[in-house]
Order: sequence, then C-alpha cells, then structure tokens
Amino acid sequence: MSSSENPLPHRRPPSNLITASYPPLSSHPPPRPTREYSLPSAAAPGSQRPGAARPSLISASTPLRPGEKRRGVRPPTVNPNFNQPRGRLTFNAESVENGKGEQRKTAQETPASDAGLGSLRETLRKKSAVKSPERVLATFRRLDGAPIGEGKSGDENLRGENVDSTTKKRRLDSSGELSLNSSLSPGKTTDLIKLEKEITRVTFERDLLKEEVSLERLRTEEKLRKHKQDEDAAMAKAGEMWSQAEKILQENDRLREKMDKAETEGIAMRKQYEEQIAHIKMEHMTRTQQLDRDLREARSENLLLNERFKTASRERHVAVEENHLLKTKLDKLNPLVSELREVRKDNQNLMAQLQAKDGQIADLTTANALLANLPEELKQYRELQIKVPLLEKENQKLRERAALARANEDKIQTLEESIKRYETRQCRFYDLELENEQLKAQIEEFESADLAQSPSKKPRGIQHLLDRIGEMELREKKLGDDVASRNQKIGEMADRCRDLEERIVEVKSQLELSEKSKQMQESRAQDLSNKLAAVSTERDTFKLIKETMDQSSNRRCDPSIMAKLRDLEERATRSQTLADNFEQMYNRAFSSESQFKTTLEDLQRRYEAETVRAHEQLQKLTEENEELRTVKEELEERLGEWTLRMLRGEYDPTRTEVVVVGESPLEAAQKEYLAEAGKVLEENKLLQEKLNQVKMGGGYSGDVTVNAEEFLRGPGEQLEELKKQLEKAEKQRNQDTTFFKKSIQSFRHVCRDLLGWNIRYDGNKIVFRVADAPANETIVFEREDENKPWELRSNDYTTANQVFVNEFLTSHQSPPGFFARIILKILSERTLICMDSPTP
Amino acid sequence: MATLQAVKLDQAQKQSAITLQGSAALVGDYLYCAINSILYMRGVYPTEMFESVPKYGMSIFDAKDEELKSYLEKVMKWTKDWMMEESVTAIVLVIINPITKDIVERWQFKIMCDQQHAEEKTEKSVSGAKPAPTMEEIRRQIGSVLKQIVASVSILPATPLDAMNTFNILVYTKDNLDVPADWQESNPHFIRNAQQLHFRKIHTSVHEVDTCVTYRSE
Repeated sequence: MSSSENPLPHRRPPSNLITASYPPLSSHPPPRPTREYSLPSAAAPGSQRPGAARPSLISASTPLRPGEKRRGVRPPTVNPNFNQPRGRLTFNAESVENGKGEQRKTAQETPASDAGLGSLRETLRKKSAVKSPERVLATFRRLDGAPIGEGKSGDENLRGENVDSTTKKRRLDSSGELSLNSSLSPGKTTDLIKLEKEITRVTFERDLLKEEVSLERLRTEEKLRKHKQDEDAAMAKAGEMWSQAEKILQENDRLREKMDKAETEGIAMRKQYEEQIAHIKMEHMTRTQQLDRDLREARSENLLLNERFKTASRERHVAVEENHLLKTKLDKLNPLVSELREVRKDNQNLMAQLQAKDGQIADLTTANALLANLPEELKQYRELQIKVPLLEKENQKLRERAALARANEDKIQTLEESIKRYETRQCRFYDLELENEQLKAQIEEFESADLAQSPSKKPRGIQHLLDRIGEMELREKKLGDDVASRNQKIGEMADRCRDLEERIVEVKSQLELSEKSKQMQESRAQDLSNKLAAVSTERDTFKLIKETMDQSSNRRCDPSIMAKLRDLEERATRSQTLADNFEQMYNRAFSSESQFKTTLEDLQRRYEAETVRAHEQLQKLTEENEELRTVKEELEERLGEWTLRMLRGEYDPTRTEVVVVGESPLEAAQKEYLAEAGKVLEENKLLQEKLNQVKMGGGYSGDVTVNAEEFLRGPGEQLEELKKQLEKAEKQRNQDTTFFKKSIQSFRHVCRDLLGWNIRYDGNKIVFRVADAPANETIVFEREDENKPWELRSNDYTTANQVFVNEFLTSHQSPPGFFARIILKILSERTLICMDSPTP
Repeated sequence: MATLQAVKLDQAQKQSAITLQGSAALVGDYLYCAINSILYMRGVYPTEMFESVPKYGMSIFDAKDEELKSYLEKVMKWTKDWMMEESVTAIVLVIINPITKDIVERWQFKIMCDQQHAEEKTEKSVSGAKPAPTMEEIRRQIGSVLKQIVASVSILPATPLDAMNTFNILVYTKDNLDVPADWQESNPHFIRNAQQLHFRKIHTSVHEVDTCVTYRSE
C-alpha cells in the first residue's frame, strides 16, 4: 500500500527512536503534531508519549464512578482537530498494535458508538456550538422561535442512532405538534395544558432518554475505556515495535556493515580460493607428472631388477662353471700330489745317497790319510787335506740340500693340507650347486605362480625377487667371506711360491756350486790321474830301476838296497791299491753326482711347472676375486639403497600392514578444516547471491534509504509478514513436534515389540522396563551430562540381577549383553528354556 | 664352592634378564616419552598442553590434554600388546599439515624383536659371554636417545610459526594381525626427496629400537 493510496498520514516514529544515523528520515517533511492522531488515554497517562497533546475528549468520555450520577450533560469540548475522520484515530492506536486487520476489525466492531459520536460531532461542527440539555429544555419550554430542525437537544443528538424508533416517532410527533401549536395561538389554555402535559411527557421521555443516554454513555465510556486500554497497550506495543524497528534498523546497519565486510572478505576469499584452486591444479599437475615419473622410475627399476636378476642368474651359472673349473683343477692337482709324493720319496733316496756319500768321503779321507805316508803322496795328501774342508763344505751344502728337501717335504705337507681345504671347498661348492638348483626350481615355481596370477593381485614376483636379492646378499656375504679366505690362501700360496722361487734360486746357486766343485773334483781327479800316471811311470821306472837294481844286486847283492827296494815295492803296491780304491770311489761319487744332478733337474722342472700352475691359479683366483668384488660392490650398493628405502619407511605390503587409529588428531583436524571450509563456502555463496541481488537490483537491500523507504511504507506490512512467518514457523514446529512424538512412540513400540523393553527417556536418565513386567522392576541409567558415561542406578531389581551386572557391565562393560542376558533370563523363566549360564 | 658361586651367578643373571613383557613395557614407555617430546619440541601442540616430568635423568614434557593423552595411551596400549605378540615392526609418527596434507616430518621407530636370539644371548651371558643389558643400562640408553631427539631440533628445518600442523601415528604390523574395528589401514606417508637423521639404537635383550627421522630436504 503506497502513501498515495493511504488516506491516513504516515505516523512519524517517536523522536527517541530516530537517531542521527539515519539522515534520510530527517529530510522528510516535519511531522504533524502527534496530538492529531493521539487517542485520549485516561487509564495510562504515563504511557503517553512526551509532547503529545492531552486529548480533549477525555473530559467528555471520562467514565463515571460507580454510584456517581451525572447531573447534567456538560457541553462536549470540541477538539480542534476533531474534523479528522475516526479511522485515523483508530489507525494510530490499532495499526501499531494489531496491524491493519485489527484496525479494520475494531472499526467494524464499534460502528454504532463511533457512528453516533461521528454524527454528533458532525452536527456540532455544523452548528459550531453545542447546546446543553438545559438549553434544549429551555427551548422546549419557550416553545417559540426555534426552528424545528434545530430543536434537537444535544442529548437527542448524542443518542444518535441508538435511540429507538418509538422515541423517534414521538419526537417527530411532538415536533409536528409543536409546529401546529405554534401556529394555533388562540386556544392557549388548552394548548398550554396539552403542551404542559406534552412537556411532562416529553420531560419524562427526556428523563428516560437521559437515563438511556447515561447508560449508553456508560457503555460507550466503558467501550472507550477498553479502547483506551487497548490503545494504551497498542501504544506500548507500538513503542516496543518502534524500539524493535530501531533495533531492526541498527541490525540492518550492522548487517549492511557485515555485508560490506563479508563482500570484501568474500572477494578476498574468492581470490584466495581461486589461487588455491590454481595452486591445487598446479599441484595436481605436478603430482601427476611426479607420479608419471615415479611410474617410469618404477618401471625402469623393475627392468633393472629383472636385468639384475638375469645377471645374478648368469653369475650363478658362472659360479657353477667356476666350480666345475675348480673341480677340474683339483682333478689336475691330484696327480701333482702323487708326483710330489714321488719327489718326496726321491728326496728321501737322495738323502740316503748323501749319507752314503758322506761315508765314502770319510773313507776317502782315510785313504788320503794313508796316502799321506808317501812323501810324494804326502804332498798330495796335504793337498787332499786342504781339499777336505772344501769337500766338507760341499757336504754341508749337500746337507743343506737335504734340509731343503725336508723343507720341500713340509711344503708338500702344506700343499696336501691346502688340497684338503680345496676338497672341503669343493664340497661347499657342491652344496652351493645344490642350493642353486633348488633356488632355480623355486624361481621357476615363483615365476610360474606370478604368470598365473592376475594383474590385479599383488606383485609377489618382485617381492620374491627382492627376497632372493636378500638371499643373494647373504650368499654374497658368504661368497665375500670365501673370497677373503681364498685371497688369504692365495696370498699364502704366493708367499710360498716366492719362497719356492727363492729356494729354487738357492738350489740353482747350490747346483752351480756343486758343478764348480764337480769341476774342481774332475780337475783334481785329472790331477790325481796324472799323478797316478806319473806315479805309475815312476813305479815303472822304479820297477825298471828295481829290476836293474835286482839285476845289479843280483850282481852286487847289497842287502840294504834290497830291503829298501822291498819297502819301496810294498809302498808301491799299497799306493797302487789305494789308487785303485780311490779310483773306484771317484767313479762311485761321479755316478752319484750325475744321479743327483738328474734328480735336481727333475725337481727344478717340477718346481717350474708347479710355479707356472700356481701362477695360473693365482691369476684365475685374482680374476675371480675381482669379479666377486664387483658383485659384492653391486650388492652393497643395492643393500645401501634397500636400507635407505627401509629408513624412508618402505615396507613389504604382502607381509606388513600399516594401521592407524580411526579417530586420530589428523582426522579431527581435517574434519574441522572441512567444516570451516564448508562454512566459508556457504557464506561465500550467500554473499555471492547477495552480490548478485545487488547487481541485479541496482541497489543494496541493506541500504539505509531502502530500509527507510520500506519503513515509511508501513511497518504493518513487515509486521504482517513477520507474523505470517511466525505462524508458519509455529505450524512447522507443531508439525515437527507431532511427527517427532509419533516417531518416538512408534520407536518405543518397536523396541517393546522386538526387543522386549519399554524405554522411557528423560534427559540424562533412561528407564528400561521389560514389557509386561511389574512397575518396580526397572533398570535406570543416568548420566550427569552428555560428556559423561551412563551409569546404572542400583535398585532392588539390579541387586537381584547383580551377577549380570558384574558379568556384563563391570567386567566386560557391555550394556547390550546385560540387557540381552536379562531378556534371556526372563525368557527362560517364562518358557522353561534352560540357559547354560548361571542365573542369579 | 666354585660350583655354588657359579649357580648363584647364574641365578642373579637370570633374575636380571629382561622378559618379553618387561622389554615391551620399556619400549612402550620410551615411545610414549619420545612421541610426547617430539610433539612438544616440534610445536605440534601449544606448550600449555604439556607439563614437565623428571624421567630418564632429564625433564620430559608429558601431555596434559586429556584427549591427546587418551589417544596416545590407546595407541601405546595396543602397540605394547602387539609387541608382546611380536607383530609390530615399526611405529611411525607423521607430522602433517592438514590443509595442504604435506608431510613435514616422519619419525620412525623400527622395532626388531628376536625372542630366540634373546634367549640365546641370555644363555651365552650365563655361560660367560657378554652379559645382557641391565635395566639401568637400558634406561641410560633411552635417556641418551631422548636427549638426541631433543637436540635434533637444532638440525631439523624450522617449522613456521603460523603452521597448523597435526600428527598421526602409524603402526607397521604383520599382515595377518587382527586389528580392532576402530583401527584402519593407512598409507605409509612417504616423503619424497627426503633426508634422514639417524639416532642411537636402544637394545634391550629382547627388542632393538632403531630411531630415525626423515624430513623434507629444502
């Protein structure tokens, strides 16, 4: 309803409700005086607004006290603004209180009184003066001059439409009579009597009418009082409404400020969200890229692992081949061992020969000593004596050789030990081969299992590969240990080889020395043979001389010469025998020396061959060692990577599982964040909608001017709308409550029918009772507030079922079990079904 | 006499030997203290939520907040039970930003249990080899590792003051373990491009706890 349509002027709000913060209101035309619209209020003068003029109708409508009689009708004081229609008056009071509907209603409810008063006031206004009832009586008494139409008394006027039709007729009749009587002046007496009678009648009627009027006044006054009270209440309500309106305006302002803030925040939030969305998109992109990279890396790792597995299998094959090679080497070494044993035996023989030689040398020395008897042979003997230490040295050297041979024996023993170790290693290698075969079989089985598995299943093959890698690592460690032991042995062998080489060098030097000594001995033998030849020639010469001497002695027969000759002959025979012996010994020594030389050469060859073989073995073992080192390094790298992964938290998904508590702080924080984000999004949506509304409407709904315009349009509409909303809300609430009650009832019925319990819920107290059970058999659970747990209140029934309380509530903390057990107990009692568990 | 002394020594060593239950309790206590210290030192929760408690020869910050305390106690209770069953392989404390879901740090406590090995060790110790660690030694070890954890704050990257981080505790269990209904499976929360910081190991005669922190390299 627009202001142009409404005939009533808009009511200005009370001055105390309008503040300086609403400039649009101050720009409106100045309000009319409030007394124009104020109704008289005698009941609650305090509730009257300041500045409002006291209504002039109060005096006219002041209710009479009980028992008090109004002596005369006081002329009603005229309100200067009484010409205003009654509807306005009711608007101010009732529109504020009850809205328009109420206003209309009150206007309809008081048609008689208001219409009567209106007409009276109209007549008074027209006449511009109100006649008192006394004056009317005076006019009646005067019976002249006064116009008939104007002869109505104020009381009659006041009676209005409430005066019944009979009195109206009488009044008309009297007026007609008056007019007739006024025209008939000659018969004054009769007329006067009639008139007096009529006057008495009229006065009686008047008194009656007065009484009626007074009654009517009382009624109207009562009505007015009620109206006033209503009006006062309406005024109070209007004041409240104005305060509410002010609050609404303030709320509007606050909301507008909030809206502004929210708009700015919304824009900022939108920007933030856009940024976040962009950031999330970027992150998503980067994550997808990273995932692609990871996938590629995983694939490449898988390929690498496959390659490594292949290389590992190749390495295994190589190891098997190496085992075979070692076997062959051992097979080759076995004859060497037998050869070494033979060499040992030869050495022993040589030792025996050397001992025999020593004995021979001793014999030779004795022979030399014997030869020394001869003066010439003495020189030789001396020379031989000189040579004896040389021979002794040679003997010593030979002894040393014998010691060397013993050392060789020791070496042979060590070689035998090493051969035994090789044999043990061979056994290990056999074991490893067996393990390899078993592992191959397992790998084949796993590969077949992996092939049989569907792609959706967990990739066990890789895990098995990883397991095998672990096993390989363990084996690698073992192999590393073996390699280390082998390296040690190789080192020992190399040392032995070096020792052997050194010994070979020594033996060579000894051989050279022995050759030199042999040459010396040969030269000596030549010298001796020369000497022997010389001695034999001398002997021959001596023989010749002897013969000649014999001949001469025979001739001369000198006994001294003969004795000398005999001595010389004996000496000669002795020396001859010695020389023969010496020659034999020399021949023997020469033969033994040649044998020794041959054995030495054989030994040298064997040593050379052994050293070559050892070198080859050493080279192979070093190569093997290097290969194993590389394998070890690779496996160490893998192990390092694996340990790093383990440190980073990687695990075997087939064996281990990562579990967390469902209600973790992370979960709570994420929920909180999501809730906050939801709220913010909702606010943002609302703000967006408001923003759109503002954009579409070209103005802001929370604008003060718009609010003021809406307010000026009339608070009644808002109130009506609010009332409608309130009614709707109340209806909805009632519907909800009835629905909730029905659902509660149905739920309780369901609980009673299906679970056997009557449940009564009262805030923090629940009372359970078995259906069809006595009223005192109840189970009561209580709690202090929502955060505290439910606690059982003890009563006779619970003490009777204390066993169940202890069993289910105290020990297991299972109320469902407790209730179920009680139901079972009752069932067993009612149906005689025996339960296993004890009954209290 | 010699045999009597040997028997007495054996009895004393057997008495000082730690059982699986005792070892699980010790490891659980260590984990509780370590997690509390980490939560305090890394500023996951405000300082008002912790109180100083003298333990292991140093002052350890224990959670005051009932909710946090009940959560930690719940996790530790189950962890101890599973340690008794030798079903736990690792406990991981993950510090996460709940908004961005970025994993800031990953504190891993790898638990290795070998009951047979422990028994062998005790037998060896009884037979004269290296003796099993006593309670005091284990407590000293735990104290030293806790001190290392406290000192590691100076090495680890600083967390921003406005960061609203939270945490989660992952338990690495055996695959066939029956977990309660309120426990659920989780991802391991790996950190890419991470760096590790290793702490000392704690050896009881039954368990070995290897502590390590993984953090994002800048």
